[in-house]
Amino acid sequence: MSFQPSPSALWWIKNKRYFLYFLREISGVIAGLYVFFIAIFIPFSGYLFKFPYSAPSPIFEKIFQYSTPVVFVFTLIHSISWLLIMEKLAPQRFIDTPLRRALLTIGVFSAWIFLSVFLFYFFIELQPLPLLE
Amino acid sequence: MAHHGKKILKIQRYRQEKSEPFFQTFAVPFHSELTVLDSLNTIKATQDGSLSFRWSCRMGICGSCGAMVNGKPVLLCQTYVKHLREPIEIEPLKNFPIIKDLVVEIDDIFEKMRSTMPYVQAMEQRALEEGEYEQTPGELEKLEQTSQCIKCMLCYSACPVYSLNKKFLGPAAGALAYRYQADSRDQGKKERTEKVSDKNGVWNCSFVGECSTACPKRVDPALALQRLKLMGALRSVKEMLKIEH
Repeated sequence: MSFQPSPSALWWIKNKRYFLYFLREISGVIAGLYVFFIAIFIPFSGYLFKFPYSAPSPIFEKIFQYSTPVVFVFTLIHSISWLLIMEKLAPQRFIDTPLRRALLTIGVFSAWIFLSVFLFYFFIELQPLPLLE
Repeated sequence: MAHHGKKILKIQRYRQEKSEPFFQTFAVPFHSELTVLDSLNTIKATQDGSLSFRWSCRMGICGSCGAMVNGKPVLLCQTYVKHLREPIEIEPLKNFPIIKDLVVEIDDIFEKMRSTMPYVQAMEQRALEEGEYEQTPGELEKLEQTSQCIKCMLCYSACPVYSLNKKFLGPAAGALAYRYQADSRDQGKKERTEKVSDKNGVWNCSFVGECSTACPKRVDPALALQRLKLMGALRSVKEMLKIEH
């Protein structure tokens, strides 16, 4: 009778790569929960995309104030870790040389930065959505 | 060969008559070219003949001698003792049932590999006079990397998805499937795509990437699995749009 060892619940701390993978996945969950939180509370509060924000209650403001930078860091981790492996997700004929792989990585990072700057300018600076006072 | 002191090895043992594995410590004479496989053979020859482990070519090509050394899946014949911190802990490959000592049961993986149709399916059989099924160097290059797999199972040992779901197709079977999907001579791509895209197929891979790190032949099974996903997705889109191949 062979012996089947059971998997450890803490497998993700066994080495650096497992930990980075876990960080990548958990950062996506945290960012998703944050967006869900915003989607629930902000429309009710009527303060959609107003910056600097003001909240309907001090507690809400505190939660928002402290969670936003933390979530921002997690979002960065999630985005950068996924963009770094984009070269493995592209069709082979587009990335058959090291130069093309490098260009693809530079391209996706550039597109991400451009889109982020555009969204920041469009939603934060221009504030195109109607605000309910 | 001159010996310089001894090295301590802690080896996980398992007997079927005992309920749990246990560690046993051995000391072996050390020299600079000593591999872990050499150490195990020394122990078996001089200290404990009951120590069981698989090995064959002793030059990193047969894939028989996979085991965990200081927590990492490696080929014992390619791992030098001089590079390891003591005490050197040797365990059987993770994620596999243990038969005895360092010998694990790997039948499941071979079944998975067989399920991927690991052969070239040519629609038109040629007569001998018509010659070979030719490939250009460029076409050969597409499958060359994944064809280097020696079925050592280190990738399955490294895969956390496989540790949690033993039905997962896994890295080596995925790499094997990709080797034939990338083969220009093969006409069975549609059928193979369906086989590897089922509920325990390639889509269970969440791209940890540790399989590619563990692979001693640089097959990069993580890349092969992602390419299989891409192939499967593109095929589905083409079928939806009814684009002829």
